[in-house]
Amino acid sequence: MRISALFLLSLLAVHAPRVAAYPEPAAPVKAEPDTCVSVPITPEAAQAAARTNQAAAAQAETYHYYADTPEEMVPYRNLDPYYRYWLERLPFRGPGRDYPDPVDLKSLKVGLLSPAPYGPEGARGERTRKGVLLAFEEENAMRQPGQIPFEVIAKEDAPLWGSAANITVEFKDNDVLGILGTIDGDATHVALRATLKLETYIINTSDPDPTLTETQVPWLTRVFPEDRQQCFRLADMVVRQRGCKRIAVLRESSRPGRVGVMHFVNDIRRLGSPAVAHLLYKAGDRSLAEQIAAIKAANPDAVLFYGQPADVGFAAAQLRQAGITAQYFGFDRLMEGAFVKNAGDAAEGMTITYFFNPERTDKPWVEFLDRFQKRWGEKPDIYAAYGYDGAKLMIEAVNKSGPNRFRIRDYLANLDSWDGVTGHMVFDARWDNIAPFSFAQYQRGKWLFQPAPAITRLDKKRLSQGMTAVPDAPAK
Amino acid sequence: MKIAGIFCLRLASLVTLLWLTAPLQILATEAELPLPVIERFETFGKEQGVPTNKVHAVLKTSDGKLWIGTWDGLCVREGEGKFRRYGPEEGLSHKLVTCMVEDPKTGDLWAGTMRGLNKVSGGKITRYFQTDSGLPNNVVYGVDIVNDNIWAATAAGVGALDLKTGAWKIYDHNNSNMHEPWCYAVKGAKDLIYIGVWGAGIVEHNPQEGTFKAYRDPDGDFHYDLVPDDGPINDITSWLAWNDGLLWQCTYFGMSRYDGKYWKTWVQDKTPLPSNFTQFAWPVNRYCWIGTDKGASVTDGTNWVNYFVGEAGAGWVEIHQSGKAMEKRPMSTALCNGFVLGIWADEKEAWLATSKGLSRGIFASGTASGKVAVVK
Amino acid sequence: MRRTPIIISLLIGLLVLAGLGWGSAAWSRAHERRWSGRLDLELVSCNHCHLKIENLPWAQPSRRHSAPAGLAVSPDNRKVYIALDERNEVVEADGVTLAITRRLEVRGGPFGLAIDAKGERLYATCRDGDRVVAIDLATFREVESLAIGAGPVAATYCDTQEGGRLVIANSVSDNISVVSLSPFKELARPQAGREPYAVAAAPDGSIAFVANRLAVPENYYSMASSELTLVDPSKGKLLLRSPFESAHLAEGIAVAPGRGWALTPLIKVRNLVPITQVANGWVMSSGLAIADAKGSIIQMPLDEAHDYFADPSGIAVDAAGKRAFIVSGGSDTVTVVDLELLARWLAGASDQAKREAIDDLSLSAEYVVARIPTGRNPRHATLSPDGKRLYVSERLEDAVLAVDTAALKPIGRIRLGDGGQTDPIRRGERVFTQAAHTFQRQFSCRSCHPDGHVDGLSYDFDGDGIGDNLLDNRSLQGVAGTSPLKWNGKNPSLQVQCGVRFARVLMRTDPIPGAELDDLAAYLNSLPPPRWARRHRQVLTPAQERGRRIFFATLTPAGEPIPRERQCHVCHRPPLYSNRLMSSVGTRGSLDPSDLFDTPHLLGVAYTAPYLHDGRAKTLEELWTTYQTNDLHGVSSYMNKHQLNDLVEFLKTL
Repeated sequence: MRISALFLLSLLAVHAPRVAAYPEPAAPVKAEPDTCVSVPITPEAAQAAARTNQAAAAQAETYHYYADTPEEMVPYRNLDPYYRYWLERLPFRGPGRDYPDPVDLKSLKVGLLSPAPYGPEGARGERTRKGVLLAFEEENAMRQPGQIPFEVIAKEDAPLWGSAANITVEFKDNDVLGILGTIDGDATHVALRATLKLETYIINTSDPDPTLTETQVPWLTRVFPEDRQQCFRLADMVVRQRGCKRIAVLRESSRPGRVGVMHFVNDIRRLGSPAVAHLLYKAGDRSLAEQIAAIKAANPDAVLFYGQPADVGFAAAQLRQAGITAQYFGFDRLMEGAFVKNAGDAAEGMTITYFFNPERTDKPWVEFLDRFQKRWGEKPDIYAAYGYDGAKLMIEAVNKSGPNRFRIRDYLANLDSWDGVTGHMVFDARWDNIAPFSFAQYQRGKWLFQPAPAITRLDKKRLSQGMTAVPDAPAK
Repeated sequence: MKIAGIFCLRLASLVTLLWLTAPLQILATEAELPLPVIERFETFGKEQGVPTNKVHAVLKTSDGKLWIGTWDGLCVREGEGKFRRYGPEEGLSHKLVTCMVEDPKTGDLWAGTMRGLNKVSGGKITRYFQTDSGLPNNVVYGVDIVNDNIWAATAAGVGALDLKTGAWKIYDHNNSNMHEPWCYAVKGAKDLIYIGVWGAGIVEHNPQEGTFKAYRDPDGDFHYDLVPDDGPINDITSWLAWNDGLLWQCTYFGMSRYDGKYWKTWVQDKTPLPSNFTQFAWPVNRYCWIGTDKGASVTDGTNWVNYFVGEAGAGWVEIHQSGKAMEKRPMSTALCNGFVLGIWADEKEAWLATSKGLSRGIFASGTASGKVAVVK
Repeated sequence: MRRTPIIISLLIGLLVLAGLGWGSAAWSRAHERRWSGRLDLELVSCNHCHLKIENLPWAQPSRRHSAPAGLAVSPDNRKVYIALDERNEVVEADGVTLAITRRLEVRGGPFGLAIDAKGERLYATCRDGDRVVAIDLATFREVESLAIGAGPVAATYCDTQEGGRLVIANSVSDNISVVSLSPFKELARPQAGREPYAVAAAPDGSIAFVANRLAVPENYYSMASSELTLVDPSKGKLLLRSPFESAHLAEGIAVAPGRGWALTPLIKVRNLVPITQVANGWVMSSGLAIADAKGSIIQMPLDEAHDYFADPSGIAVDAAGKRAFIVSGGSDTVTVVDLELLARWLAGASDQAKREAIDDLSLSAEYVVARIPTGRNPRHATLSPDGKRLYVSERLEDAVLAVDTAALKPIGRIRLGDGGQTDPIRRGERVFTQAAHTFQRQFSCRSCHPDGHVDGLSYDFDGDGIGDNLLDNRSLQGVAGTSPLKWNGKNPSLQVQCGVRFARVLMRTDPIPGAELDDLAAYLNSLPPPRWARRHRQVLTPAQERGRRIFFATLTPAGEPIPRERQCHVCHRPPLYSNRLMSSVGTRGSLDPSDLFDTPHLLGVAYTAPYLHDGRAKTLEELWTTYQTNDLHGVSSYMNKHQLNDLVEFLKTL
């Protein structure tokens, strides 16, 4: 009898779900196979992608930093540091899981922090909001009699005066169980600092700032793949796959611009091709003569852009007009129409990192497209999709954990992977979704996609023992 | 069965003996330890009028009153040991009090909250918001008073209110070398101001000369600490404290100390620091009390006394003395919770604000807490 | 025939004149519209914008009178010391002969006096100089000077266990300077309420009481209460703040030895009551607040049911704690209160009776034992240490009245000047401070405009008697040249403002006679903006300079043009910082009849809180945060906190 019990216990131990100790949710299940259809850019690109997969597999026995940065782009990679961080997730050791649930709850409140509608991120924020609202509307429609409905407390962030902190406090005053948002890196940082005191979990659905999760605050999960991943993917593409040696960077003079390319600049340097020019421009500026002259003087064979799509489109066209023939590279936002509109012919050949092929045909994605179209009368974009996924994940956490912020935190902070309409997510030791980026290239009026490489899933147990990682199934 | 019974009896006797002689053992160790050692803890909670579990800050003012800043109001301990609460109903700007400081000249208490700064003066609360004063942001994480200026570390820079002229000054990334504007702590050091910046290390400000100097993590990367004792352990400063020439920095990556010339750093596992997640520091003379997510510590940089509390509520102390093996002993009463958010201590007692109650640490008699530790 | 060319010439001349007139008008209109950005403007006078500060009455030299302010008597009862702030003098008079014996020039407007226990040193607080000076009484020379808070108006001396102390009320910086005498230095400067104005210390030096004149602006629809501040004189620590509920203008305070009381004359004000209720006596009355060391306060009436004793200020209590002498500047009276009788009444009264006492004007008969008439506008009072003499400064009489406290009769005056009756400004000040022109002498102009300034309250002036449409009380300091007056811009001059309608709505008596009205206008026009001399042409700090650039900005920092009508300096045009036109800045309340309000001048704006026509904004910052609507009150949406703070710092310099 005793032996049987021990055996059962050992089975439980071996097959413990990836979601850690308290509470114990059901292991996330991948509903449908990913049937994403991607078109390789070129046969060479396809081969390069395969090489990346092989490289990832080769790295499986090495220590993986968050965002799955390749070893050769890791800082101080040849040194044995005194101390390594992020080998495992920082625990939250505070009390609260056993606190009684609030009585007479009329709704399960979730805060939504959105950018101001009049700012540069206003339109993206609006699309995020629609994705979030759709998820909550669907959930409330499915709730059984007697179940408490969800309520979204939506607030707009003002771009000045650190208002995200104040809004986070307002969320707390509204007794929200969790917070969703936002795009702006400043605002999310500020909210995260506040929520550390307020102990309310944030799911970030759209901030690409790589420094956000470096703060070791165990109160945030980011479902939105961030710029550090884009940087090393772009560095690999620019230096290794395209063989560029003279790389110029032209970016917006702003915090997002600074932290956005920060890792790219370091990565290409580590790959042996430091930037030959690094120019800044003010958002909206249309007089780029000095920047163009400097870039031209540097004689680059590649130019990396970071900024709002309309600005980059304008800059790309101006550079071409100035006779610069370098290959163009950029980040995901250039998929938005303003880039192609302003760039004109100069858009041709632009290669960007992108989350996945939005034309893919797997069932969760297609059904989401339909539902969104039906509800809002428009097609969702990536912000709407990650907003929807973030909201679904928050709903799941609340449903599994009950109206207790600490148990909700435990559920979310202990999640290793999750499947949403955007695809399979893998969360690293910094609670970042490290699902690999695809590439897209603009050719003859449309974006062509390259398949994403393999996910290298971190194995916490093995990491702590021998700092190794295991490869996940490659994305299809 | 008989053997088992004898074994149990002996075990019980041993435990009792250990229990009874614990203070003596502490005394024996303490004689050589230039740090105060807590003999036992008293716990204060809802029965004593503490309105909620989470106590963020604790401060004993010069008139002997004990103030606590909690998740649900500002409280003062009154004659009979009960706490009297001041909340928004009494004029407090927000119920979640994050930090406190006493104006040594006037006795006014300044309390930072998650929405506004408060002056508690002669029983009246005056509020300062970003909308009706020069306060940079309503979320106030740290306050200090230096030369008749109240300094507030907020979510959007530090603000200084000149108490004589009523003029505000703000410092952030726009007008100083602060890499980011998100300030978590501010601490006066004679004529200097140290600002703890989330993501930008420590900024040293000289108000007379209007200069700024930044102390950043020399590694420039958050993955590692490449070399110990080379500068701030990390740029994510979660708290700063200064006393007697020593600056103490808390981060979620370990702890640092700066003596004006040299840095000293501590990380968990490689040093006696119990956890990298350090939240609060309170120096007394040249030693420092530290609040972490895993208990409280007191250290002079060489010797450490760490207080832990287990899941079942049992407490123990670990004493790390230079050149000696670590001693671990049970305590008769435990710290009320290991998630320590605030500390006030002098040479006679220590008060610890935790996520689940308030504890008072009563020192072993004959402690040498007044000794000044030698800093190497 | 000859007439034809003349007629033609005349016609041509008329046409030319008409053309010139039309052209001038068109040009003027275009000029106004161009510079104001206001397309709704018709012709307005050039002096809306084009005037010079130097030409304003308050910028002209005016006569300085020997108006007595603070008083002190030597410990041996033989000498009386008098501060003459307008003349920058402190004088010594003989207590027996009432003749002036010595004079000393003390710059900075000496206003409050305190004398040490041995009578060796006299201390004078200089209201305009922001300092306290020590005067050696043997040589009658200034021996030490110490910079303290702004606008020090009163001081008290006390012995503590840690040495002699001065506690000083700084009326402008709203704080209290606690000064040690040896060495002569400031120990602490705790914050007080608004306009701390009087100080008294317990005989044992354990505690000092500070009476604050105004209420700190909070919610403009809440009851206004000024503050009693208690400090520890030995270390300067602040002990307690206690509100004078629904009361203000506390300008005097005295400790009653042996009773543990601090007595403060004040005005019981009910500004939220419609002003029409003056007829029922519901708006203002005079009271005496009795406070103990724990901050408990009981307010007792000083008025009688049908006769009021407005603007009580100075108070003196004898050493035995038996009698209090309270001067009423609005009624030229000293009210004598028998404290024994008062204590007896209190001992027999229920808590409710004590709470409601202030509303029962018949109660004063229980303890007011005498009313002693004085000269014009008594303001300060002090007793000789032996209690035999009461000295009262008759401010507009240029004299100090000596009263025999046994007989309760005046025995003579210390003559300091001629009373200034030939000076229309002085006569106007008399009209301003006199309660004779209000129903039952309930209040004077000064009751709402202390020193011609603000009382920080909003009143309901609507004739509807409903009480839901408040108007912020505006300062009269710097009022010259700023007409039209009132928030609705209806009154073209001070004579109209204070004329017939004013008498009907507010004073509830006959209008002020024309000659007195002219004097009153002369006085008001002579009032410079608060602390103008100190600020005028002051070098700006970097923050103030940055703020000045924001104030005069025509572009945002991003280079976007700011519409002219929303540039700060267009409506608030220098030198008055007002174009004296009506403007809409998005502040219309639900009960306001119009979007348009008079554009207030900004000279001394930092001293005139609260703001906006109904006083809803308690600080300058709130104008552009809480109460800004769609950038209508200047374009501020681009501002970060640095810029707003800089703008406020600049406004403080005006």
